[in-house]
Order: sequence, then structure tokens, then C-alpha cells
Amino acid sequence: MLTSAQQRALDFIDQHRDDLIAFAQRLIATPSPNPGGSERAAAQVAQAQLHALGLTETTIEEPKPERSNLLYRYDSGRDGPTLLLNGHLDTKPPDPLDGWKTPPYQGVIQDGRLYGLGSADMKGPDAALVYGLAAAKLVGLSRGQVVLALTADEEGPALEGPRYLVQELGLRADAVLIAEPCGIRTDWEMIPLISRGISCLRFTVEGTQTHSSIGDRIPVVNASVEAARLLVYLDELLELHYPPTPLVPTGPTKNLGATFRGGEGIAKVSGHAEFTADIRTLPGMTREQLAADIDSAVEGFRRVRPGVTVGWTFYEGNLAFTQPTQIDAADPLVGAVQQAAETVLGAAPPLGYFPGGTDAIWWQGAAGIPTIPGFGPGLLSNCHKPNEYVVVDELIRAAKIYALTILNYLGEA
Amino acid sequence: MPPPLDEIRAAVQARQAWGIRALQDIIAVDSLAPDEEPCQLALAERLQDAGLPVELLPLDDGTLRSTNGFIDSGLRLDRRPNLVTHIGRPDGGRSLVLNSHIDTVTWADTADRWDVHPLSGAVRDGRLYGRGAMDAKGQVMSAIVAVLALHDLGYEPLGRAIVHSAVSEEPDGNGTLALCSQGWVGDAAINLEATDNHVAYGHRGIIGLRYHFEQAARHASIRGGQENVIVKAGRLADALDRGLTGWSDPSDALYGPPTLNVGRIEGGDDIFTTPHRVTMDVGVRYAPGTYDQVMSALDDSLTRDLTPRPTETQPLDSAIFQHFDAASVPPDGELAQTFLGCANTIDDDRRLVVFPAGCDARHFVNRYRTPTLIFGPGRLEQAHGINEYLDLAQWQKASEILALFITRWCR
Repeated sequence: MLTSAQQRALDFIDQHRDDLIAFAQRLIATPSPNPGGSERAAAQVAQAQLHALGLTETTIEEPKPERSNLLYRYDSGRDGPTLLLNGHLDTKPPDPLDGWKTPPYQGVIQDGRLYGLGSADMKGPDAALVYGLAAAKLVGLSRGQVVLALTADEEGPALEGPRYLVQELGLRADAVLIAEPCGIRTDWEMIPLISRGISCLRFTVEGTQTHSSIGDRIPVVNASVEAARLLVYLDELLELHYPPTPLVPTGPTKNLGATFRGGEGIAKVSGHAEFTADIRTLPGMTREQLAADIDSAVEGFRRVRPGVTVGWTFYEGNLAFTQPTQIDAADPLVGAVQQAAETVLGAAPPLGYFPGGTDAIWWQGAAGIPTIPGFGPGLLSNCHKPNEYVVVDELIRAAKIYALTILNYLGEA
Repeated sequence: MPPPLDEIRAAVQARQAWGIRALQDIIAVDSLAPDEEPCQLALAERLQDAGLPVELLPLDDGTLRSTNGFIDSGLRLDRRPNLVTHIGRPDGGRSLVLNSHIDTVTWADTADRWDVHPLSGAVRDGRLYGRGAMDAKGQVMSAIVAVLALHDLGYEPLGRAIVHSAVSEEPDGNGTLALCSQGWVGDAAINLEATDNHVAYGHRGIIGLRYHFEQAARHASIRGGQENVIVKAGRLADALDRGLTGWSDPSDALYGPPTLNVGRIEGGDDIFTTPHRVTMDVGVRYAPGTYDQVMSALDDSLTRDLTPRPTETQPLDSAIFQHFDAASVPPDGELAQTFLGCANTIDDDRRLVVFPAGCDARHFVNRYRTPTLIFGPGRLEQAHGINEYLDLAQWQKASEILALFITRWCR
């Protein structure tokens, strides 16, 4: 049974259905590709919308010009926890452009779907957060505060967004909900508690660069072939050690061979080859253990291919090893989301893990704030490519889930 | 009457100092294709000073692109003259072409690892160092010294001895093709390349095969059922490198079985997206006369023998993107035997061999009915490398062998 306050919040969203969609369309029509663009115009569009809804306590924080983070804080005036709602304002670039059936920077509705770059990842969810928050504020909260953070640079190096807010502005909360799409095959597939970490690696093999016509007449090492053998060897034999994680029965994902470059042509024995790999790590995994596991596999390869010069390194900077995160299933935010989802969807989705990297690495990894890394409408499998869409009805349900999550977590006035 | 052997040898020796200076002069002028013109002009000047006739011929006379054997490597065709010089009478006896090339491979990218500057032509301990010293400016000059020595002796062969300084051997072989198509062929040819002064009666061909692998790209964080295409290509690279299975070698044993060089492997754009496309280029070297057999063995290997898990290595498609054909002449024929005789008159223990790489001899043999041997000082291992050098004693012997052969062939 809904309380009357909850019903009023949901009614508000139903009444503003067209406004929410139009707002999402305005965000889509405001390009913010990363790399190559700026979040400022999108932040201003969102700020104007918040003001129009009476949510006026906004600021725009820019660690660098044009890299804009929009913050809004609603304080109930009574002590209590702070819930932070997070979406990002940037998108991937629209390439390849010729793959789009509708213009990427236009929110086009067809067959109940809203198409456009960022419709699911995540300007649509951003709009749902704004209307969910407006509905909760309309009802009023019994305690605590809600912070809305529409942030920069999620699709890039992730330095100008939540990292800046937590590390340089000292922004804190008691829990964070990120509205990234959580579906792979269907909407609302799970409530992810885990955000896997990312570790990017580079493997190199050196060979004997020489004229290929004498490759069978003198001893040579073909770097392209040996790198290919190393890759196949790792694919079959790289064993990663990690604590058992029931929510991720398949374990870490190894994308060995994300890119491969070797050799110059058919007339030369390849003198150098390298390939990159991307490991999606689980909570409890450490950089040291990962390095030891890779060293051990590479050592095994050296034993079967003696005489081949093999090396590997972590990427420089951020991508070397980002910390995997996990929110406790008993955290009040998880219960609040489950209850809201059950009310709106009929049943709460199962607990799971978010397959990709998110800004949870900053909220939880760096600032220690328990974070749900992605609970939002849309399918991850439709993102980062042409014809991205979100189902309009799911966008509306998202706003309702967010409104109820706020009310569940902080209590209605 | 041709001059006696000791006079030929003395005349070559007398031209050595001139030859070294002229070689240094043309090594000093960079001649990476398509920019061979300044070097050809420098060479023309030296030849004119020495009293030899010089013809500079356009690479493209308007027909090159439609000439059988033309390979489009994307390089421009204008301002790239071939150079020809010659001695002897036009129609009095059998003619002979001494062909080599003036273009070189790059040196700038490795210049800091050379002991001398790659354009210096510095002489140390009987070796002349520089890019092209052996491949192939030194070869060109070896032929020139041979004809010049005969010219110095006042000897005019009954048939013409023609020297080619061709452009564009390294990228595509179009320079020699143009000379052949413009009629600069003969009753026999010597293609000067590094054979250690052995006598090669044929050379292997090379087939460039390009394999593509594809699958739908997806976000790297999502686990899928398909194997990563780069891993798939890796399995094929491993299998190909182990060689063709079940190959029985019916060809001349000197050539050896076909070799597969997995050269370039390239795929994947972004570490966060699973690779959707991989390209793998494989060079297949094969003996003359075995092309069909090699191609069919490759097909069989791909579908059947190559791997216990053929579906995991099967490429989406493969295509021949480049083909330099193999060529051969009879090792027991008059040309090879006469030349071998000359070689052993001057040098010790010269043998009949085959040339493992592709070279311009193919144009003469396969398209212009000119039986051709491959011969020259230096070793192929040295080609395209750092500190490329020419052994001056062996170089002189090569000129003596060529001069002697001219007197025996062009009659």
C-alpha cells in the first residue's frame, strides 16, 4: 500500500511525464561528447530545469573551464543522513555517425523508445533523477539531506567529475546512488552492489627484425607470432586469485587482446609486437596479487618459449588498477532501493554486480561512501554505439523509483 | 678478339679507385623511392665523365600502369628516371643486361645505431659502409666498373652489354618492369643482388595473404560466448608459423619447402571495447613452379590440418593482396654453366644456388623471355640492416667475373 505522500510523489511524476521527456530531449540536444566536448552547456540546461522546478540551491563547480559539475542540495532542516544521487552529463562521441538511423543529438521518440546519444547513458536517467528529486521535495522529507550531483568526465579519464568533488571539494554523503543503466538484456535486470575495478595491461614481445626471405635460413624470433602465442597461452592458462564472490559467479572478466599491433609487413620478420588486456577485478583483489598472477603466467610462457623476450606493465595512471567497490547488502540504501523498485516494478530485481567501471571508484573507492554503482533504466549493451535508446515508460518508472528511494531512505515529512 | 684474362683483371683493378669514389658519391645522395632522381643524375654525371653513353628514361612512358606485372604501391611515377648505359655493338652478337637498382630502404630511423653515417660511404678494413653499399648501389657500380674496364681496354663486344640502374625495386619492382617493357631486354640478363658471388639460377616468390577476423564489438565489461577475435587470430598465427602440414617437397631441394612469415597482426581500437576486427598479413615464400600446389596446401591446412580446433581459427576471409612471382632458369643450361665457369675462374668454390628473396629477375624471365641469373657480392642477411657494407675485395671479383662473362657471352 502506498502512503498518501508516496502517491502524491508518483502522481507528480505522471503529471509531468511530458516535461520529463522534453527535458531529456533538451539534454540530448546539448552535445557533451567526451573526449572533444564540454559539459557546461548541458549543466546549464539542467540547472535551468531545476530552477524551473523550484530547486534553486544549485552551484556549478568547474575544476577546469568548461568541465562542469552541477550540484543541488535539499536540506530538510533536520538532522539525518545525506543521500547523494549521481548521474553524469558527458557522453561518448557519436561515432560512427553513419550508423545512426536518427540524428544522435536529437531525442527522437519512435515506438515508445527515446533515441539519441546519451538517452540511456545517461541524460535520460539524469532527467529521471531531477524529477524524482522534485517529487520527493514536493512531499517533503522528515530528516537529512539530498544532494544531486550531475557530473563531468565519466566517459573520459574520470578526473574532472566525482574525483574532483570528493578529493578537492571534500563532498561527502552517507550513501550514493548512481543512475547508470543496469540492464544487459532487459531493463532493471539487477540491483548491483559491486562495481568491478579495471586493470589495464600492456604486453610486449621483441623479435629478430630481418628480411623474411632468410627467416628459414638463420635462427629468428618472430615477435608477432610469439606475442600471438603469449596471448593464446594467457587466454588458456592465466589463473587469477580472488576471494569467492557469490554475486559474481563468473569471476573477473579477462579481455585479453583488446588491441594488438605487431610487425610491419610480409617482407620483414616482425621485430616488435604488443597487445593490451583489460581485467575487470572483484572486491578483495589487489594490484599486488594481480601482478603476481600475471608474473607467474608470463614466467610459465618463458619456460615453454625460451629465448623469447617478453615483458608486461600496468598502464600508467588511473587505468593501472582502479579499486573494485562493494556496498553492504544490509546498507539502508539497498533496502530503500529494493522497496522502491518493488513498489514501482512489482518485484525487486535480484542483487548483482555492475559489469563495467563507474564513478563508484571515487564515491566509494576514494571517499569510502557506500555506493550503488548503477541502478537506472536502459541497457548497457545499447550504449557506446549508434541508435542508443531508452524505453520512455522505463524513464518514467525510474523517476518514480528515485522519488520513493529518497522517501524510503530519509522518511517522508 | 676479347682481351685475355689477366688484362681484364688488371683493367678492373685499375678502375677500383674510381669505382669507390663514384660509389661514395652516389651513396651520399639519398635515394629512397620515389626520390631516386637526384641520385640517378649524380650517377649520370660520373658515367659521362668516364666517357660512357647515358640514357635517362621515364619510369612511366604512359603505358606502365597497364603493363603486366605492374604493382601499384601508391608511389608517384613522374620524376623517377631509370638510367641505362652500354658498350658494344647493337646487333653484332648476343646481348646481355646487367640489372640492379638505385633505390634503397630507409636509414634515418636507425641512423643513431650505425657506426658511421649511413650516407658516408666510409671505408674501414676493406669494407665500404653505407645504405645501399650492397643493396644495391654497390651492385650497380660493380656492373659499371666491369663495362668501363672493357671500355678502357678499347674492347667492344659484338653484342651489347647494357647496364640498368633501375628505380623502385624495393617497393614494387616497377623500375625494371618499365625498362623491360620499353625494350631494354637482351638475350640474357644478370640481376645483381647479394649472392656472396655465388650463381643463383632462380628465386622464390612471395604471396601476400591477408586474413580478416571479425565479430560484433561490445562493451568490454560484458562477458560473451564468442572467443575474442585477436585470440582467434593468435591461434592461426601459431599454427601457420609451425608450417604447412603434410607438405611433400617435389621442387628443387635448394629452395626448401614453402615458408610462412606471419608479418603484421593488427586489431582492436580501444581497450574498453572487445576487438571486432583483426587483420593478419602472412608472407608465403614458394619455389618456382609450386604456386598452385602451395595455395591448395594452404586451403587444405586452413580447413583441415592446421589445428585441432579449426572453428576457432577460421578467418572470415582471406585474400591475396600482393604477389611477387618466382622465377627460374635451367641450372644446367648454357647461361648458368658459362657464368659459373667465369665465377670459378676468378673466385674459389662458387656454386649454383637459389636466391631466397624476391627480386627483379622475375620480370625478365616470366614476362620478357630473357633468361636471367642472380649474382652479386655481399650476403642477403646484411640487406636492409644496420651497418650495411660492401666487401671491397669481393666486389672487385664480382666486376672481374662480369667483365669476363661479357667477353664470353656477347659474341
